[in-house]
Amino acid sequence: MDTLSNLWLGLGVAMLPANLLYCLIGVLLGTLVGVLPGIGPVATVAMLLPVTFALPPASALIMLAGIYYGAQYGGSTTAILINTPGESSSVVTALDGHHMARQGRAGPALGIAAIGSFIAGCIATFVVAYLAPPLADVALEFGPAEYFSLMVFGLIAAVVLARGSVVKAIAMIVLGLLLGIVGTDVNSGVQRYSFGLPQLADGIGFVALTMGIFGIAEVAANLERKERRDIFSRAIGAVLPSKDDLKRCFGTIMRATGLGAVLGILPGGGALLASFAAYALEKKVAAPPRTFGQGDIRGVAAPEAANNAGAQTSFIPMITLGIPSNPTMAMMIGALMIQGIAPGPQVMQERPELFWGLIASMFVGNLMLIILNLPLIRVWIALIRVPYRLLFPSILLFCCIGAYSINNTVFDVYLTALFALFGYVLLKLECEPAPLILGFILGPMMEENLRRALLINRGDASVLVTQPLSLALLVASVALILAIAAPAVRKTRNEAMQE
Amino acid sequence: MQLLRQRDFWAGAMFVLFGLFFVIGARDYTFGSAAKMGPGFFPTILGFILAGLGVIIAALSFFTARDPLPRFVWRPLSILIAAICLYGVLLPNVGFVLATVILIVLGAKADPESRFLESLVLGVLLSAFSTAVFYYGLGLPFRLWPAS
Repeated sequence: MDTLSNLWLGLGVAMLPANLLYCLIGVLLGTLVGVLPGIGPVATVAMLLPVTFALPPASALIMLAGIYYGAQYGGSTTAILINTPGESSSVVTALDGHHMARQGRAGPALGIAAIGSFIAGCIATFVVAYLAPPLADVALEFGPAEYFSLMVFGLIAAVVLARGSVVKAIAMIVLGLLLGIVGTDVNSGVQRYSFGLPQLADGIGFVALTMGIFGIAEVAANLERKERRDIFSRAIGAVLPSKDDLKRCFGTIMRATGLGAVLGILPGGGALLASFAAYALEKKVAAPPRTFGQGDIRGVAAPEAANNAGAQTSFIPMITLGIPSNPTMAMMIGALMIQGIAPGPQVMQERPELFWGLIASMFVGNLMLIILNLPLIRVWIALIRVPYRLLFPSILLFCCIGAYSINNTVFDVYLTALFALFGYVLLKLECEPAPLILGFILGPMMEENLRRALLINRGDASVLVTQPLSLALLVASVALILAIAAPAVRKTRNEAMQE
Repeated sequence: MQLLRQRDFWAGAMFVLFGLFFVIGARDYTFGSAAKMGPGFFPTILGFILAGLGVIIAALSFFTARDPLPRFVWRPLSILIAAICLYGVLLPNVGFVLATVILIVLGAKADPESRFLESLVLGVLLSAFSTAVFYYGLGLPFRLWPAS
């Protein structure tokens, strides 16, 4: 079957009334958490995981995916209006977006953010549709050695592209891998590190882990920061950008989409990196006059288009390889596993309706977002005004409900409290939690693939370097680590992160 | 001691402790051999790697000596944690509706600016809302009220 007829099949799934509804719920929730600073898509997806139990797999994925790309839309609103990014991937949007708002051009800034995101989202959907199937075919040929090396590469690349200390991030990965193998060992049936607790036999609940770290610990950190939000109160004006604005932005949106789509596929990529890179690129190549940093509309269009494109193409490694490129994708893999679906290249062949339904729902979801967002913008603005002291108790409650209902035991509620403490210590020690989550999800898979690779070769570990593909992946991992240690690369990386 | 005020010294120490915990714990499990990895194989190796990374991180902090350990503000966090744990105790006993109100009222105290009456109203509203959504809407199996 060719791609278009597959997309048609997917559209049939995505257009089912129930799935339309879940898509709508997903994008609305996503926009909501995107708009609200202090809660992100990772925690939201984690909170909703228990709910997805009751749904068919396709509906669950459609809703959760909507949260992720919906959050990219919502984040820009907060960035433009109150100069605080609602979402980390909107940090750059705040630079020019808030300037525009102060110049009385908040409307066009919001409008171009939505339009740029929409165009990028649609194009990125095609990228996913055309790129994922061949990649999955390649991945089906992978043996355990290749898989192991691929995971090593994915984890290392995720670290290198993240901010902060690389050594600490690698340590966080290893800690994540170790936490991931707590529970019953699939091969021997031995209970590892469970302290005789039957509740730990299935391993540490990753809903409790994520909610503790990304939910409660974040709340605690936000409460001590005590920042006062400077809310933009002047009129928004017309939200539609002028024809002139659109013409100026067209090239920018196209370039940013392309760049975002490429960066989204890389492990460790996704929305955040894409937005930084696209802004940096536009500052160099956009047609003069360039007024970046002082309210250039292209400074809003570029990161917004790029983060949406990146958000969508980051589904490619998740779907085709079963390897998460960022914590939200790790949550999606968790959702698949809850549904009893082993993530990996076989999903696309065994459950085509799942994959193509998800892809097609991205089209539908992007359309919903642009239709809903422009008229709903005033609702979102009203929500930004809700003070944090009314907001965080709700986060607290939803984290507790989510933790409880994953297994219907209070054990996971206590576990959430424990991981909240852990997460807070990590925050204070500046240890990025994202690599921990990636390692946590991949831990059991990595152990299993290593075991198989070694078993097949009678304990000879050289298999990892004699298989050409496996060798290439390991060499690439080492090269990445060495590259980041090189002073020149380190300098540009830090500069890029600081902009 | 200058070193004890370094953020990364403590980060490194944390990783060393975790690494050793997993290595020591793995001694109870069969190590096996490379050809037949036992349940202790993977955690032992990773535990050593983690401890080694921890030593590197702590050692590097000795040379860079830049980032001091930030102040820990325990009040909000401990109130949140207390509220969550109390919720765990209350939920099976007094039921979802009351436990939720108590969670919100207590949890709101994590922000010193919160007012009692305001958080009580918020708690009642959130309790009603989530009972409607999660119990009646999604059919999650909670006990709603105290056991009679």
